[in-house]
Parts: sequence; structure tokens; C-alpha cells
Amino acid sequence: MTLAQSAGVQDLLRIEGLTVSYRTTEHERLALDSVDLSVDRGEIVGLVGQSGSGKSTLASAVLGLLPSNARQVSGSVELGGVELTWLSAQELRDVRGQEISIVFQDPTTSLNPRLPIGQQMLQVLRAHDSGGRTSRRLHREKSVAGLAEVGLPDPLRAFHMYPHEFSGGMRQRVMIAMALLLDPRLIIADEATSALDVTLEAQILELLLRLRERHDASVLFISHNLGVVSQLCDRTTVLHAGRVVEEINGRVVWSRCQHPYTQSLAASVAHRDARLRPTPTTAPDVDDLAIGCRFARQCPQAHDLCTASTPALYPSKGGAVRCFAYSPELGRDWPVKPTVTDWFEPDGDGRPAPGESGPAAAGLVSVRDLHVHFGERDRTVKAVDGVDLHIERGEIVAVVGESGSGKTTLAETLVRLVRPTGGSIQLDGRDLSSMTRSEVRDVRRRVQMVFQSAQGSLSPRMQVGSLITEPYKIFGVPKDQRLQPDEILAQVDLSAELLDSYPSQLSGGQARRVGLARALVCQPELLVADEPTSGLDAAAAATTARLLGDLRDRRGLAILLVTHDLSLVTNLADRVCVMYFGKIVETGPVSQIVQTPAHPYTKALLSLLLDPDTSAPVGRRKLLAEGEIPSQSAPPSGCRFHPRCPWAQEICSVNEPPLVAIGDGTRSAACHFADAVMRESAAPEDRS
Amino acid sequence: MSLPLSQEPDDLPASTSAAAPAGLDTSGVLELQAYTRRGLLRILRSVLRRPSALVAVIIIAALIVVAVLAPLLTPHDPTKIDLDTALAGPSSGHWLGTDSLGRDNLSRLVYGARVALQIAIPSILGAFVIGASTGLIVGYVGGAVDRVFLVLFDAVISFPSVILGLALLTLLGPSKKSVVLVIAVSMIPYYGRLARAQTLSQMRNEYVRAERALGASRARVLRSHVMPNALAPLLVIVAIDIPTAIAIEAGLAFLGLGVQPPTPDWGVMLNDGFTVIGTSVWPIAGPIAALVLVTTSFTVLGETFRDELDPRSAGRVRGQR
Amino acid sequence: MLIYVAKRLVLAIAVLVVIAFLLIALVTVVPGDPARTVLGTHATPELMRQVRQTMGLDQPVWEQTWNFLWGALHGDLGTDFITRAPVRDELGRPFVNTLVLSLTSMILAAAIGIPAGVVSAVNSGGVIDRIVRAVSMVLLSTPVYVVGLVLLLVLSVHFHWLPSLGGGSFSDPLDYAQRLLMPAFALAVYWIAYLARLVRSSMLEVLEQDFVRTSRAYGVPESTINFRVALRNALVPIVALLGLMLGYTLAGTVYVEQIFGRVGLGSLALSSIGNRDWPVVRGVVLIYAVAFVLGSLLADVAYRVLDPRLRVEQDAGVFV
Repeated sequence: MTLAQSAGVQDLLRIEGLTVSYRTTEHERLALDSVDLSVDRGEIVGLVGQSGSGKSTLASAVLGLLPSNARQVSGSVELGGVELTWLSAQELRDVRGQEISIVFQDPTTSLNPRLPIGQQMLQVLRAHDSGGRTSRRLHREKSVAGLAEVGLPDPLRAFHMYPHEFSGGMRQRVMIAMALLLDPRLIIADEATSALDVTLEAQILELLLRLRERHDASVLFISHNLGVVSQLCDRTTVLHAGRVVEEINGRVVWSRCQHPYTQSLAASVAHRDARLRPTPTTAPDVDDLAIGCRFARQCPQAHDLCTASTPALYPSKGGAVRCFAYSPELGRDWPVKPTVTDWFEPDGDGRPAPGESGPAAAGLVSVRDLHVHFGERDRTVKAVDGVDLHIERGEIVAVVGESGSGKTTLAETLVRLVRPTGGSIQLDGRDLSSMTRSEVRDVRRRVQMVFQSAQGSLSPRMQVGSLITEPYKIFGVPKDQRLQPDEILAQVDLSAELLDSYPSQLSGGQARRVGLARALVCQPELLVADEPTSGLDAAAAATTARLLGDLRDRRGLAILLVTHDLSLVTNLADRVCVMYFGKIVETGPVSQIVQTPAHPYTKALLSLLLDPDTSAPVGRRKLLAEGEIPSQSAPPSGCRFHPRCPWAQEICSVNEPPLVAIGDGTRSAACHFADAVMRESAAPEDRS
Repeated sequence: MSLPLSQEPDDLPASTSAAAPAGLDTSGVLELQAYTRRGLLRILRSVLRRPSALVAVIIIAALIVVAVLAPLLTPHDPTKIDLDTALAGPSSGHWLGTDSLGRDNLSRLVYGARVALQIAIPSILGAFVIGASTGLIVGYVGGAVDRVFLVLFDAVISFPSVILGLALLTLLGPSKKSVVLVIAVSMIPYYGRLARAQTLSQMRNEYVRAERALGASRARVLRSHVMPNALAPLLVIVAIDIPTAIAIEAGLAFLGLGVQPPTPDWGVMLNDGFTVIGTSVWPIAGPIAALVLVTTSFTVLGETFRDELDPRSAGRVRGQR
Repeated sequence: MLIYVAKRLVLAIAVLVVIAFLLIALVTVVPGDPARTVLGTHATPELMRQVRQTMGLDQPVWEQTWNFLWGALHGDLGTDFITRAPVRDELGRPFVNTLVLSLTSMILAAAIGIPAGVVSAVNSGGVIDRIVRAVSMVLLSTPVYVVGLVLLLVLSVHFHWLPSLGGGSFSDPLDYAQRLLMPAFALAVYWIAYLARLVRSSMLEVLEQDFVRTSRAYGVPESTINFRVALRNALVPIVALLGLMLGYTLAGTVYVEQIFGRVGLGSLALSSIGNRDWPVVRGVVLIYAVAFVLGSLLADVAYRVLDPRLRVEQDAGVFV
């Protein structure tokens, strides 16, 4: 069966009134509630929502792969005019892979670990080769060509390689090659880049777009990240708790988002200089909200009407919104329409400039020429290779870099989880290595850490109440100096109701804040925060960032912020250190470095952080860092960034540039061409 | 006893856990991890909602009641010889007939339950206490100590329990105490390796690093965090291993190496009855039925617990040799 | 990979040395002087001393251990106290009998257990699956001697279908095979149940993996997914398991040989322990231990070889 016969229909994919429910032990839960969505030929359509909004259910429903406890209650899914819901299992199988294909989030688990990727591609080709008309050789050639197309350096060899032999980015390329194998007309990208580092994400997006054009396919791009979607999609549908809350025609522009929920997503991603009010962190329980707007409880603009009756999808300029504020009749009650600024704190941009607040600057931590090497003689990995770092009281210093840059090792060395192999760490002028046992114990109290995995860092059999008071026991704090458990929780904006919960019962954001509460209980002077926003959706991340900023402002806490999230850095930090391959390549005040990066690597990272309202879409942008971080045990010669650097000259592969002061002396960079890079950064960018 | 855990999680990189073989590693144990978090009572309640598990619980309860109340329940003295009625079939006086010496089969069976539990419970508990604490410490300390104990554990595991029993019982002389010791010794390395693997897997969790970073001492981390998380899941396994001990005990007695006649013991009864198998099935019918019922009940119960904790898993398989 | 095998080999050798040491040490603490066993109760002290010397009993335990291991490496397991024959010759026939019994039971187990598991997994939740699971649950729990006794009772005593006692000899292959059938099956029953459950659970586990979702999403037929993907992945632990099975089935033969009156290592061990014929006991136990250690070594190595992810040495880039 070829669906191409029914050409002439405008929409390629048309979903109408799709309702899907999950059967649980007690009741049925609606995961999708009358969802309409269409994808035209050649279009890229975004589908945005938090986890639990039903976006993955939608992908499964389109493919006819709903889990056994899910049921499609009503609605239709048409592909090129053919109703997929009515197809037999065999016919559906023909559609999958051939007409529609999908790229999943995690290429590590999505490929069979025990089969070479070539075999997996052949399996797909054979499944769609009824009667085995095509020869094995042709299948093979087609697979190898596919691998070549996605930019694998040696496709013939890659054909015989196992998934684990590829890096994360290459594995996702393999997935894309599989998705394009049979020239499908629709590609569903289900969080296809969410598991990747920023530079890789840009590469993969660029690849996906380029190949999509060549293969003339449409894309349904599913993501939780409004930022990515806005750079990519021709149209966007926002899903909240199983309902479409907004449809946006054309590219998403932050300031023109209309639904309060979309605005909350936009506010938490886009605005770096303003302080956000707490944005909703969890998807609501659909069952509680049979009637009314499901966002009403979290909405700053909600009226009584919103919980009493269910809004329809009202047409608006540039799309449609499910919000009474835009209803032709009822909208009168909202003389002022919801805006993104609803999500800013009343005192607006009240963040004190760096250095203005807090006690007089005095060096708190001073790290000199720190080395941390792992492994045996012949395969040493220099995770941290000669790093200098100073942190003042009340200062937030960010360390940024891709995974593998050594930033987490640096952080763990500061809290003495990792023993340095060289160099010195001083706290208040005292060298850690010269300290007595009891002094070291005191250092542990003064320097605390918040871990990347929020839930994993909490002892699973302890209740929140015991977890947050444990530091008192460890350090033998007298009873009269202890805070009550509910007071401790209040410091991190958590309610006392959680005291009896176990870590597994907490949401990601709550667990993160419990970890923070533990770290703060004994009044540390330095807080090391390792990826404090990773694994959190945009809203929870914004809340956590706000909390960290407060701590610095109110308590004069010094924070070492370890992250690859650049928007967090620009939002929060005073100074930044950019790490690449165990070394700091650029450091200085955040404001200056963001304006005029002097190291090509910094520039590459920042290029991914363009203002969404004005930047050019992905694919029309110059990619500034090709490739991935090279193997840990075989660093490139000379400047370690030179294989990926567009500025690289011969000298770069021979001489390693030292970290030298540039500009007005407050910042330094390690690049032979720092001045040139900085000059080019300062020049207004060509945005054609 | 359990299969040797030669594919311990610590031998494999974390990435293989997705496709790790059931039965070859401790994945079954790890899945039990959830259980205190869901509340033991709630799980018990849902376990008992399943008919098969309910039957199993009733059989196990009956076993315990029978063992405790043996003297009150039995119509005859289990060791009273009456050659006139030897090898009789079932009758109103002897419901399960008599054995080759005219002793009442039913009374011997009932007292046998008592002997079985008297040996199984202390041997399993002892093995668990010694094995688990050794494994915990060895896993936490690591290094050379760890390697030495791994070799020791492996060496003991390499003696089949029968052979170990043969050797030790010749040394100690057959008695209930010796049998307890033999079973305990043969089980210690299993618990040791399980506890060690659990400890190592716990120590890979970030909470251990978080506690250290918070300032907790090594001893505190081991005592307050690693131990409860590593050992709690093993407790369920200990309960499930009781029939393993019963089977070894009866097996040794059957070979004439364990509990000695005339003690009323299921293995001794099998041994006695085996010699007259051509004449009467009644002396062995009782112990066969009892062994199958009891061991299956424990297995069913353990299985149901696992299903309840993790519906995907289809059963930790236990060896009995 | 090679480094792993080498490390694993060192471990295996260490285990065997410890076992040998335990075996020797055990004899020295057991009441009853081995020399007395050889000479009877009326030997003169002078004679006793001489015999002890020739048997090496006057040497320290570690030296005896060394001599024992060194001898064993050269195929010398010492001399039988009672028959005065080399232990190696005494063990020959029983060893072959027992090995044949073990291997036959392993083949039976794989031939019945694996298909049962596949059928069960493919029909997961259905009637066949329930039956396979229930039956395997009972068989898994039943001790091997109970299985043996029941088989004997039903097939030999009641129906007289199969001969009950003795193992027969190779000169009459048909009779030998017939006599092998029941004991091998008794030994296999546990492993049939074990394999059925293992295959089932491994296959179901694979079927829940993300990469199966990928296959489905690309239209790969269910039959390919079941057999090419799920079974293929599930067989890896099973191939590795075969090594371990050898050690365990060998141990199980002690019971089975006793019940079916076969000559083998197990029955030999039982009788020589009764006689305190230590060289024979040592020899038998060493064979068991070597089989076990070798089996688990093979299992571990096979596991690495069969899983492509484990073939490569772990990259040094993995920290901590």
C-alpha cells in the first residue's frame, strides 16, 4: 500500500479529537483530551509540554504503539488521508519506518546493544521488503550510504560496529540514519536532542534539518524545551495536562506567547536578567481537574470563572489559545491580558550588581595549579590539569564546559571527595594539606556541596526530616543552636508536609531543595553546586536558580556553580571560568565575557545562547564548534581545542597557549588569537 | 542454596544492568530495594490477596503450628517400635500406615517438621548474621581484604554442600548441632557475596558521596546509610532460603550423614523407606509430600513478594544442591 | 579482555589452592589416624611411624598441600589406603559414569527447558504460560532426591518400565542408555524448571527495553523481535550458565547415584568417607572443585565474550 496515491490532501498528518486514557488499578486517567494537531508537507511542527503533558503518548498513538494499558478512546489519526486507527496490524507495520519514523531521546538505550548497527538497519530494511525482492547487497549499500549521509567518518566500518563503540552524538546520528533509511514522509523527533550537550544538540539539530530538506520529509518535533522549538519550528502546539493550550503559527516569539502556561515556559527560559516568581514545577493531576482550566491553580491571572468552566480554544492573532482572557465575550473580564512579565518578581530586576552587596570582598578559597589525574601510568587521564581559581565571599563563580571537561572533578576536589594529585587549595589562607584532622572536619562543614543527581544524593531509606537534621548529628551541634525541621525546610521554600516523605516520593525540584537544605543547615561559607538545574524542567530550574541567588544576597554565601547551562550562568554568576579538557581557557566577569568572548570555545558555547527573539534559526547559523570532545586519554597536541576551532592556525597544534590577562586586566584567556576573537565578537554580528 | 553469584554487579560496568541475566546476578535483590519504601504491611496485604500466596502462607503457618504442637497432635510415640504392625497400610489407628519397624508414619512426619525447623532456622539465621556482616565490611573496606575474602568465599562455595557435609560431619560426628553448622558454613559465602555485592552497589550511589561530602565519617556512612540499604532487601531472601536449609538437612539425613535414626526426621524417614520401597510406599509418601509442599510454598511466597515489588520479574531462581 | 581472563584465572587458581589446603588440613584434624586405617588396630608404633612417613603425614600441612597439588598436576592423586591402587585408576570409571550422567542431564535440561521458556514468554500471560510457570515453580522447589525417589517409585516400582538399580556397562550401549535415562532426567528436572524461568524472564526483560520499542516503531515484525532480538539476547546468560550447571549437576549426582545404585564419583565419595579412605575422598572432592571452579571461570569468560559491550577493556575515562 502506498499512501502517496492519496496525494492532493494538504495535510500530511492530521490528528483530530484524539483522546487516550490509561487504565490504572483504581480508575482511568486521561492522558490526551481531544487533541487536534496537523503537520503539512514540508513543515516542522513543534509540540511542547512538560513531562506528563501527554506528548510522548501522542507519539505512541500516531505510531499505533500505545502501551497495553492505554486505550484510544476517540479521535482520528490520518496520514496522507488514510486513517491509521483502522489499519490492520500488518498494514500499520508497513507504515512504521516507511511512512513515519521516529528518533528517540536516548540513543544509548534505543539501539540493541548486542547487534552491530548495520544488522539493525538491515532488520528494518528487510521488514519493509515484502517477499525479499531486494538483494542483501543492495540493502547493505543503502545502509552504508545512510550512515555516510549523517556524517559518520568511516561508514563501512561503522556498519559493523556495536552501538557502545560510538560516542553519544554519533549514536544519535546513527538513529537519524535509521530514521531516514526508507525515506519516510514524517519524522517524529521525540526529545531527540534533550540528552545531548549544547554543542552536540546544535550539531544534531542542524543535521536533522539539512537531511529533512534533502529527503523532503516533514518533522513533528517534540520537546520540553521551548527555546529549541522556537529556533526550529514553523508552527508550535503547546500541550498542558493532555490538552492543547496554545497553537502558535510561525516562529515562537517570547513576547507574543499568549497562554499563561506558555508564558511561564518562555519566562523561565528566556529572561536572564530578571528574577522569576515561582513557576509551576509539576504537571497537575488530570483527574482533579475534570472541569475548569487545568492551569488555573498556578495561573497568576486566574479568576473564579477559570475553575468553574472549561475554556475552549479561542482563535487569536497568530494562532489559538485555550484561555478565557482571549474569549471574544468573556475576555472583557481581563482588561489586561496575561503577559510574560506576570512571571517576574514584583521588584523586577532587583539583582544587585556584582560586588555591590555582601561583606567586603576577602579571598575565601584560593586554588593554585591544581592537578587531578586518574588511572595508571600509561593511560592517565588528566581530569584537572593545572587550574587556578579564586572565590571571594558572597561571590558566585561559575565553571562551565561540556561533559568531560573536568568541571565536576574540580568541584569534588574542593569538598575533598577527590584527592588532588598536585597543587594547593587554601581556605581563608590556610592550606588544606597542612590541616589537622579536626580542622579538616571543620572544612567539611564550611564547604558544602549540592549534587547533580537530586534524588540519588539522598539516602533512600531516610525521611526528609532525618535527612535535613543529619548534619546537626554529624557535627554535634548543641540542641539549643539547632533550627526546627520546618524552619530548615522553609529556608528552601518547602512546606513542613514533606518531613515524613522518602526521597523517592519527592519531585526532582523538591529533592534538589532538600539537598540544598542539608547543605545549608550548618551555615557553610562556600556552596559547591554541581549542575543544580539539570534534570529539572525549565520552571523548576528557574525556581532553584532564584533560591541560589537569594542565598548569596541574604547570607553572603559564596557559590561555585558547576554547569553547562549558560543561561543559568548569565542569570546568576558574577564571574565565569570556561573549562575545556581539564584547563581553564577563559575567565573573567560574566558581563564582559558574554559581550566579547575572547576564546573561540567560549564563543562557540555562547553562540548557542542567542536571544530567541532576534537570533537566526538553527541551520542558517554558523556552527562554531565542530565535532566532540576528543578521547580523554589522548589529548590533542598544542591547544587542546584546535581540532574543533575555526580560528586554528599551524601554531595552535604545536604551542599550547598560556592563560594570560587580556583587555582591562580583569579577565584572561588562553588563545593565540584572543585579541582577534575578541575584536570580532565586539563587532556587530552579521545576522543575515 | 543460591546459585553462585559469579556475575556480580561489581564485575560489570553499570551499563550492562539493563540486560543483565536474571538468576546470574543479584538483580532480584536489587529490585527488592523498594520494599521498605512502599511499606511492608501494604505489600503483605497485596501479597495475601493472591490465592496461591494465601495457600502458601497457610501451609507455612500449618508447618509452624504442627512443629510447635507436635506432642499434642500425634496419636503415637514417633519412636515406639511395634514389629507386629510393620509396614501396614493406612488404617484408623495409623492414618499414614507404619514403617518397617511398625512406627506410626504420621507421628514421625509431625515430629519431623519440628526437627526440620529446629535445624533450618538457626542455620539460616547464623549464616546470615555471619555472612552478611562479613560481606558488608569486606565490601566497604575493599582492597586486599576484599580479595582474600572473595577467594575464601569461592573456595567454600566450590565444595558442593553434600561434599562439605560429608567431610564436616565425619569430623564432627552426626548430630543436630553439626548439621546446623554444616548448613551454616555452606550458606555463609552466599550471604557474604550477596551482602558484598549489595554494599558495592550501594556505594556507587551518589548518596554515599553526598554523605561523605556533608562531613559524615566512614563508620557513620556504613552504619546509618549503607547497611540498612544493603541488608534490608536481603532479609526477604533469608526467609525464602529456609526451605533450602530444610532440603539440605533432609538430604544429608537421607544419605545417612545428617540426623541419625531413630530421630523422627523427614530425611531419615526417606532413608528407611527407600530400603523397603518395593514393599510399601507409605513410609516415604509422607516426607515426599511434606518436602514438596513446604519448599514450594516458600518459593511461591518469595515469588509473589517479588512480583508485587516488581511486576516484570518472573522469579529469582534458587538452587538446591 | 585478555587482562580480564588473566585476572579471573589467577582467582581460580587461588581458589583451588585454598581448597587443597582445606582438604589436607581437614584430614589432620579428623579423629582417627589414617595410618591406623591402613594398618589395622594391631600395628606396632614403629610401623605406624614408617607408614606415616611414606604417606607424608609427618610433614607440615602446607608442604603436604604443595605435594598434593604438584602430584595432582602430574596426574598423581596418591594411593588408595585400602586397595593400594593408585587413586587415579580408582577414579577413572566412576568419573566417566558421573560425567556422562551430568552431561546427559544438561542436554535434557536445555532441550526441554529452553523451548518451554520461549513458549511461555511468547504467550506471556496466557494459559500455556501459566501452566509452565506453575509446573516449573513446583519442580524448582523439589529437592533432587525427592524427584529421584518419585521417578523410581512410579517408573520402576509401579510400572516396571525402566530398570531401577545399577548403571550398566558400555559394552551394552542400549542397556547403558536405558539405565541412564531416569537418573539423568531426575538430575535435569531442576534445571529444566530453572532454564524455563530464566529464558522466560530474560526474554520478557529484553522485550521491555527501549531498543525493542525502536524496532517496533520501525515496523520490524513481532516474530523477528521475539526470536532475533529477545531470544538472542536472552541466550547470552544461558550459555554462560552452562558452565555453572556442570558443577552443580556433578554435585547432584551424589543423591542420584545413591538412589539408582550407580557407580560413580558420588557413591565412591560416600563409601570412602565411611572407610576414612582419605586419598580417594581428596581425589573426588578435588574433581568436584575443579569442575566447579572451571565452570564458573568459563561462565564468566563466556559472558564477556558474548556481550560485545564487555569485550573491550573499560575505557580509562571512567572516573571514581
